[in-house]
Amino acid sequence: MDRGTGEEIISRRPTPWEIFTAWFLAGAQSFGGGASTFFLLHQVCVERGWLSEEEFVRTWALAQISPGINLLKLTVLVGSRMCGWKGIAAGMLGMLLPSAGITVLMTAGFVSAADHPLVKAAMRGILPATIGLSLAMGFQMGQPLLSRARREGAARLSASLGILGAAALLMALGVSPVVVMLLSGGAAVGLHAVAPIQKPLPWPLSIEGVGAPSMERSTDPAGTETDEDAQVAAGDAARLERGDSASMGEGQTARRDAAARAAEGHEPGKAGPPEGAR
Amino acid sequence: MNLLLFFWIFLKASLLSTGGMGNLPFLTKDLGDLGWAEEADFLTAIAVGSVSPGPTGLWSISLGYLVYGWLGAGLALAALLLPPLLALVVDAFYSRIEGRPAVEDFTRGLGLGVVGLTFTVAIGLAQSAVTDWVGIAIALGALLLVWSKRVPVIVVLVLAALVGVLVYG
Repeated sequence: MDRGTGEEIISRRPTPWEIFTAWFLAGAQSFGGGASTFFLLHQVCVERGWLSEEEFVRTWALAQISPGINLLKLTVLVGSRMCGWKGIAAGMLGMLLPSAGITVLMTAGFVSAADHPLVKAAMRGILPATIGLSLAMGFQMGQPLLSRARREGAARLSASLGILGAAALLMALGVSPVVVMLLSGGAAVGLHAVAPIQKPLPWPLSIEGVGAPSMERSTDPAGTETDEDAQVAAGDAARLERGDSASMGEGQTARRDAAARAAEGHEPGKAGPPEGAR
Repeated sequence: MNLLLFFWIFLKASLLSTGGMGNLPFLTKDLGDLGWAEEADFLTAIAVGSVSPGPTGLWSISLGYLVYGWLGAGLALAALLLPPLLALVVDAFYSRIEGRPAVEDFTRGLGLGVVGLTFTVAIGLAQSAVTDWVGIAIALGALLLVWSKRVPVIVVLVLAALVGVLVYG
């Protein structure tokens, strides 16, 4: 089915073997997390003409919202578009054989060496660092969401911060994560219906201004930020005009939304590692 | 150990999250309540998952191994393989609803919820991982270095290991 990406510029389709080797190399080369895997896959898909840049961004945006590991969803979508089920299997095998294998072997190696005094001492350093890692992951996941809310004004930003804080608190009180997630989604729908979109708050109040003055974003040319503001504002204005009759002009808005989402930090190669790749 | 329940816990965590360490809150809650995994297991698995190649989300394979050996790792891997196939279904249907404000607001709420859960879990795990001032310093240092995106995660963890050997070795 055609999903509005009418202008497909696929110059040629790879064989399952080509997909396997490309994914194998990306899966094996990228020590240290998904960002580099994502980078390598993007390079392969776009440079070999398997997907256009626009298709790749749309596929990546789609991967953000369905369940599971983002890079595996990207693999499923690209593999299926290229060669159906064979493409999916080739991509999955290629990506997981090296990376899952090495992950298990590293764990097994750690378990067998765990009693050595030096390993114990090293682990006493590594474990606190993983706390920092988890917190950083939280900040990176939250940053595009909060910065978007900030562009929608004080009411929306308070709503977002409230949802985030309430979710943290409920989890701490022992509420099931599933319930917390459903409440968060419902709260966003309810609060956004009540809280109007206002004029953007100035930059220093945003989350990216707190604590990390040297972040990627601050090194962006000033123009980028304004472009994003305009783009998101345009998307929101369009939605407001449309009200609930979402069927009209949907394809176009949908694509613009995807672009706005992409600009907010999922854009390949721009804002450093894509948040979802980790 | 009930292997079906084991598989279901990992599958559910993967179904309810969208990658990375999003499945961490679900796994800490379920495995913790059953007493199948300790805080140290989660921390070790996160560390391994962060340095090993490929998606960080594979950290739960490492957790599977720590909880139940090779079979545990295999089940955890299988649980990671199935949910991504739903992307095909989402691909087919999402374009019909993606323009609706309520859908987008709900998705944003889910994202905010996951972030909140992640902070709570990180702070909970810190109680066993961070035992002294050196630990606090390492955690904060790692947070800043990783957040800056200037230093690869593997370098941060190697530095932390060196500090550990120097201070506690």
